[in-house]
Amino acid sequence: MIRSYPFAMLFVVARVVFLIPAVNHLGELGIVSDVGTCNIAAYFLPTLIISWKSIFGHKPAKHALAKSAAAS
Amino acid sequence: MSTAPGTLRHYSFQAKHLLFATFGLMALVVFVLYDLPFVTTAAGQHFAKVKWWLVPHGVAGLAALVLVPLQFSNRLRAHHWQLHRIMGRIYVGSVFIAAPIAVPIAVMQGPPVLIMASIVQSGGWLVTTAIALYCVVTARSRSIASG
Repeated sequence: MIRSYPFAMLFVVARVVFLIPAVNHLGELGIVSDVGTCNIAAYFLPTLIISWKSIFGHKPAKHALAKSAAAS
Repeated sequence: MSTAPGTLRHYSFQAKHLLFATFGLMALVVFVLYDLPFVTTAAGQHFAKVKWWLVPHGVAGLAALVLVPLQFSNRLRAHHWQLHRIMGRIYVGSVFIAAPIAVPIAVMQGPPVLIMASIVQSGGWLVTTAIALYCVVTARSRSIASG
């Protein structure tokens, strides 16, 4: 479900991004770039969010590493 | 994904609440700045040729947008399991209505450069929702099989 919802959010997010003057001034090119970028984000962001802890989580403490090394 | 009632935490502010609050504000901005003028002014004529396609697309899309934040509620899932399942079914049904209709709307309404973007978005929405449905169904059948 978390991978599905960004595609629903895209309807709102793409329009909000298009309110940014720098994007708005680009006209049709701005719309296409905006929607295309939001589409790509909708495909990849959920994976990043799901994997966030495993990528950026805290490293195991030294004593825990030493304990597991002793156990093995 | 399921949370046992015994392990349910008391209410606390989480990142998802901030995300959904921000998204709600953004949806309000979009409604006021983009959608309301098409209803209240003559600008609505811009969508005259697709107006009957917009009705099911809009209703189903709105249902999908509103229902999913509730699907991520651990409390709702733990205490109102049946409601969670009904809303999940409505969400899946809404996606299977709203996503395919977006393509003919993009073709008829244009601009042509957005047709492919619409196909990619609708395809992604359909596929990811179908995968979610498959995961729910297989997880349920596994839990039934295991007793």
